[in-house]
Amino acid sequence: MQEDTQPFQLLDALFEPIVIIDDKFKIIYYNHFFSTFTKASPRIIRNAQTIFKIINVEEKILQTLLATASANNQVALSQEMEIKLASDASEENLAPDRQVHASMKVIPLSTTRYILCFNVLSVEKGLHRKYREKLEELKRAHGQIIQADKLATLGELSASIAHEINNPLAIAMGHGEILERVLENETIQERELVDNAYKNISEALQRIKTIVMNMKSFAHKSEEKKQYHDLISIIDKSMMLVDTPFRAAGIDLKFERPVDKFITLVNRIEMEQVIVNLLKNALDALREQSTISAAHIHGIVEIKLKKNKQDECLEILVIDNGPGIPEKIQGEIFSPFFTTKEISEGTGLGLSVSSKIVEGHHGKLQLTKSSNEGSIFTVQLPLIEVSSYVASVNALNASNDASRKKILVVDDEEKILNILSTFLEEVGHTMIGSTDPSEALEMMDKLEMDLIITDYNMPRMNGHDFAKNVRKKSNSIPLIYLTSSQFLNHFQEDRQKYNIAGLILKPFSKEDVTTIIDGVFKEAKKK
Amino acid sequence: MKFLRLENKFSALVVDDEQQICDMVKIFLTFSGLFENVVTANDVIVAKQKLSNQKFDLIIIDNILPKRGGLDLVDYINNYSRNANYQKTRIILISGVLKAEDVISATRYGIKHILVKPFTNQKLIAAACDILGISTPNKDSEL
Repeated sequence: MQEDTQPFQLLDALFEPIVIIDDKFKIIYYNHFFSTFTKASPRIIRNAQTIFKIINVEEKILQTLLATASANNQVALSQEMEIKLASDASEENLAPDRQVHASMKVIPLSTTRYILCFNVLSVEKGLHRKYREKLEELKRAHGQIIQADKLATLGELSASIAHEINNPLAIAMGHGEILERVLENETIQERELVDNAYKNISEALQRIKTIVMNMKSFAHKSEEKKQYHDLISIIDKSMMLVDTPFRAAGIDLKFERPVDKFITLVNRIEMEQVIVNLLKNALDALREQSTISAAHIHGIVEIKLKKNKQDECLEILVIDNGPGIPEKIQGEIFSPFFTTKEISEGTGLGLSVSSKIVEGHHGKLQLTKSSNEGSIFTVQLPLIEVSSYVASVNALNASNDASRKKILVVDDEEKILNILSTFLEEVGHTMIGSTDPSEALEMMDKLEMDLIITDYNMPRMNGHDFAKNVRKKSNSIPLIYLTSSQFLNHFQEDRQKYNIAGLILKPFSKEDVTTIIDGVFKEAKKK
Repeated sequence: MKFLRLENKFSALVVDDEQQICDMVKIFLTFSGLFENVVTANDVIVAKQKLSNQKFDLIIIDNILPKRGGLDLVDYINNYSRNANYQKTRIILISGVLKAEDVISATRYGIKHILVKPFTNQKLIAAACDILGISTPNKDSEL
C-alpha cells in the first residue's frame, strides 16, 4: 500500500537533509537534500530496507532518540557525533565511507512516523579546525618575527654597549701598558708575582676586547659576507626577480644602465633583497592606483644608479609615478610592522628590514620625494674605497698584530678585487679596494695606506699615468704593478722612473702575491 | 737602528672628555721621548683656550665630545691655523667606534689618521710619527 506522501513534499523545499521513518526505521519519505547529503541515488534509498543501509549510526542511539521523542511527544536532539554514510550499496559511490560531523533531531509525527533531520556541522567543524590551525600558524610566525626583531634590537644594543665598553677598556689597557713599561726598569722584590699579575690582567683585558669585537660583529652579521660586486648586475638580477608581477600588472620597469661599473663592497643577497623590496612596494602602489583612479595613468617604475659627488656615495633611486605616500604616515614607514596592506599581504617588515640592511652597509635608505606624482626611495651606499677602508680599519683594530698592513688595490674588475682581498686577508693584511685611479689618488690624500697595487690596463687612466700621479704625492709608498705579460715592457720602463717595487703577473696564485708583497715590505723596512 | 733623540721635542694637545684617556695618551706620548709639553683638555671650550695660548705640533681629538662633536673642534682648528698662517695642523682622531660616515666626515676635514679604541701605545706612536714625518723610535730608545 502506497502511503500518501503529499504533505511531506513540502520538505523538498528545505535545505536540510530530512527523512521520515517509521518505528522500524524504514524510510517513508526523504527530501532532495537527504539524497544529496547521503550521495545515495533515489533507487538505492527506495530499495533500502532500513535507514541503516544508508546511514551508519548505531541502532541503539536512534532507538533511544525515537523513544525519547515519542515519550515526551517533543523534539529530541542527539549529541554531535561522527556519522558514517554507508557507501557499500551504491555503485556510483565507490569512495570509502564518508564521515560527517552532525547531530540528529527527531520530531515525532505519530507513534509510527518520525521526522529525522540532520544538522551537518562538518563544514563548521572543518572551518573551525582550519581556523585554529591558521591561528596557531599566525601565532608562531608572529613569535618568530618578534624574536627576529628582538635579535635585531639586541644587535643594535650590543653595538652601543660595545661602544660604551671601549672607552674604559682603552683606559685599562693603556694604563696597564704604562705600568708594564714603568715596572720593567724597576727593581722589585716580588718580580715574578708582579709580572704574573700583569700578564693575567692583560690577558683578561684582551679577552674583554675580543668579546666586545664579537658583539660588534653580531650587530653587523653581514660584515663577513661582503664582497666586491657591481651594483648594475645586482639591479639586473633584482629586476629579473620581479619581472613576472610587473608584466602581469602591465607596469613598465626601466633601468638606464650606466656605462661605468658601480663596484662596491656589499652583501649581494642582502642588496638584492633591498632592491626587490623597493620595487615590489612601487608595484603595489601603482596597482592600487590603477584600481582607484579613473584617469588611467600608465604605471612606470624607474631605477637610477649614480654617483653623488657631493655626499661621496653611490645612490640607487627607485622612482615610481604612483599616488605617493600620505604625509601623515611618512614618518612611520620604516618602523617594523607598519603596513598599509591587507593582513595576509604584507608583514610591515619590508622597509624596516631593508633600512637595517642598508645601515649594516654604512649607508642610508630614505624616502627622498613623495607627492601625488610619485615617490622616490634612495639607497645611499658609501664609495668602494670608504666601505673597504672601514672594514679594513675594523679588522686591523681587532688584532694586535702590528705587522698587518693596509693595502690599496686599484682594479676595475670585481673578480680580481675579490680574489686579492681573499688572498691578502688570509695572510693577515687588509685591503682597500678601488676601481677608479682618480678616486684612488684622492683616497691617498685622505686616508693612510701602506702599499698600493695597481692594475696596468685601466680605462681613462692607465698604470703609467697613475704611478706618475702617485709619485707626485708620495715618494715613499711602495707601488706594485698588476698586469698581464703583454704590458710587461711598461713595467720595465716605469720601474726606475716611478720606483715600482714589484710586479704581479696575471694570472697569479696566492703564493705569487704573498711572495712579492713580503719582499716589498722587507725592502721598505730596510730603508 | 739608533734613534736620535730630538733636541726640540714636539708639543701636543689631547682632547677627550675622559680624563683617564687624556692621562694615558699623555703618558704614551711622553714615554716615547718625542714629546714634551703635552696638554690635555676635557671639552671643546677648554681646548680652544689652550689653543689660543700656544701652538701645538700634534692634536689628538676624541670623535665624540660633549655638546659639540670632535669634528667641530677640528673645523675650528683648521680655520684657526689658516687665519694665523700656521702650517696645517696635524690631527689624530680617536674613536670608540668607526662608521663610514665618520670616515667620510673625517676625511673631509683632512684627517688621515683615525685610531679605534682600545688602541695600543705602539699604534698611537706609529700614527704620531707618520703624521709628524719622522721615523718610529724603536723600543730601546724609549724612556
